Amino acid sequence: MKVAGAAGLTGLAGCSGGGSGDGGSGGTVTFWTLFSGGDGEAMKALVDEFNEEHDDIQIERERQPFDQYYDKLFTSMTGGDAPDLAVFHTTEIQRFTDALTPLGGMLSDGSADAYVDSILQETEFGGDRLALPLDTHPNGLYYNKDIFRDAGLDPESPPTTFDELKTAADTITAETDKQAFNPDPYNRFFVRQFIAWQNGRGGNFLNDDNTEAAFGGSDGVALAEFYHNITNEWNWDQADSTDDRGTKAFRSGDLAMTINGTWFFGVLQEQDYDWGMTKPFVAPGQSQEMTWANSHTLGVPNSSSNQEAAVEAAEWLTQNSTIWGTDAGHLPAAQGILEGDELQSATVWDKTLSTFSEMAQDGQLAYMPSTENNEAYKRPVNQAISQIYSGQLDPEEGIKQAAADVTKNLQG
Amino acid sequence: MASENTESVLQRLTQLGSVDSEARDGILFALPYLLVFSVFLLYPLLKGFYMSLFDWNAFNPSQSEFILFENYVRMVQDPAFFKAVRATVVFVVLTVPTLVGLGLALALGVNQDIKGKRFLRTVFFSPYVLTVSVVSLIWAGLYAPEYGPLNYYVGFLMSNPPSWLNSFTFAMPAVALATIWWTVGFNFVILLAARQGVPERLYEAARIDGASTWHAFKDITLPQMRSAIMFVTTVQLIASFQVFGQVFIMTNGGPGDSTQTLVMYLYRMAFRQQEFGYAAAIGYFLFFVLVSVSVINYKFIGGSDE
Repeated sequence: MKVAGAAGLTGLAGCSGGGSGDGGSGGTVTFWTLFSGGDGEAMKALVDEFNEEHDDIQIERERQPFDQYYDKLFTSMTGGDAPDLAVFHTTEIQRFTDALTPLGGMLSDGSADAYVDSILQETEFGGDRLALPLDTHPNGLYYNKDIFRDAGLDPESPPTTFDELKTAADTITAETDKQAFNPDPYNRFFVRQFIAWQNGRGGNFLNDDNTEAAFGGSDGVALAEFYHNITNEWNWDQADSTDDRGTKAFRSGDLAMTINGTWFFGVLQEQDYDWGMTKPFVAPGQSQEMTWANSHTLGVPNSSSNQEAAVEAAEWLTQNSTIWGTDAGHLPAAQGILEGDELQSATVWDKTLSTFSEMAQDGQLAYMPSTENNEAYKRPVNQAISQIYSGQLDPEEGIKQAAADVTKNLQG
Repeated sequence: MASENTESVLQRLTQLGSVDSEARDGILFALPYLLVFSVFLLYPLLKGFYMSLFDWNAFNPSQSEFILFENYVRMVQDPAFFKAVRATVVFVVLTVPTLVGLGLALALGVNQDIKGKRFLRTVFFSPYVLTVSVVSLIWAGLYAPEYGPLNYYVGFLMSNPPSWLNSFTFAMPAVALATIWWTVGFNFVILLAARQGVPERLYEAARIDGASTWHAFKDITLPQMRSAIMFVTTVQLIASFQVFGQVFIMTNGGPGDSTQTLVMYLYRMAFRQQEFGYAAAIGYFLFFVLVSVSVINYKFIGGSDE
């Protein structure tokens, strides 16, 4: 019997039901999100506002844990038990294309013109609009102005190039007992900014048809050496890739500079030190200026029994998302919100959003490639850079092996 | 004569009827479990094997491509699979002997006439009631490099204490240690009950014959506790081969897949890479490994109690 219990594992896939939304009916739209912290509160407020304004449709919001969100969503969608509406990162839509409803015929007149075009384009797959964009959330370089002052640096002149980063970080290392720079404070999403910096060097991450890794050459190796040197040569940070180490250190005022997304605004508002944010084009050899970005979008699963109401809710949420900018710190995808006075007069605009908006307008956002399954490239690169960063893997050997693994995974 | 014959036939029919009613009652009693077994174990088991013969399309199962044993062929050619097998075996080797040995030592210790043994019994068993996520988060916190209590104290002994969960050398032993702390209580309780079931008269007889403590342990305790030891060893082997939650939460398989165990690899293949057919094949491999080690275990230390 115990052995049979073990064998039950083989049937994991056979039991792939689950999920909670039952498709909804009448005017109820079940809505899955993955937001917590400041994002979670802002989304709750947005949904509450929708429910107050609508008598005919009510959204039932259900938050799933971030780390398991797509696993749960996938399971619910394959089991025919999906929510009516769900959040999808643009880079994750590709794996769900067979299970998402094309929205074209259900959108209000002129709806497609309501969004920033470059962000909206990321939601179109095979000629079908599969989701509506809520925001874009690029990376920026966050820095602690108090540490800059302690090190004798000008807190209003953060580094904008690699040479300036080197000078600032070397000074902080020499003059203070703080860590100077960490390129991925979570230590598990290295691939994000790696792709942007690889593009910034004029290189590609994957080949044109996304069937092979293209980062195993000199540009990828130079970046791998950059990650290696940060910890193992220049001592800007500890050679340690434990999860979330950098974000904890930055929040506690022990790290001077890090690269993080728009959502960090909400976290840093709670800190009692002075901080700033600038463009993160600080890797060596950047001939073009690029930063990582992704978008939250809202999509309607095929199995939803309340698709019209779900689309109406998605349009409202994405086009009334001021609070998503002012409180959660994301760059709203709705043109009217982005250009509106309410957002542009909020604290967040001066602190971060004006800079993010500039990068978006200048075409400096690098979205990760949409492949059939992004895990195919994300895990090998994250694992390799994580080990390079912690000094457990030779940079050249590590990045070349990661490229070989990615190619193997992409070719299945 | 005729009446004798009639009587004997009647007797036999009555006996037959009673046998039938016993069988019927037996089946009725077993039926609830058989139903649960069929729905939750037998069906997934068969469905899993069926899926392992396909390039399974999760969104449209009817469009899945039948590929016979291709998933199994892929498995034996997949270096990542063998890395996962290796990581799993390392975990099994680190945990099973320790868990059984330590469980036995604790059981024999607490069985002595010592003060506070009720308290110790509770202490040793209590971690077992925690869930895997709680245990993993507690230990990940203990192992944390800069803010963790362990490195705070290790920092007094050495200037640069290791980052336990991020080190090729220490990550798996660290996960194993957390697992041992968490589950040794189960083995302890089973083995303590088994030890308490060994008749004291055997030890008295041995003492009268002048046997040493070691001989009493070797010739009385171990043979008398053989079924219990086999039970905990088998359960432990199965549990350790199936390790998932601890590595998933504490290391996510890292650094560099060094703690990615078979079930974690299976999970990633199924739910991250959507390769359900391949994941089912890996599940079947694990199934046969577990059947084999259980049979071998039974042959070596199990068998009859006589």
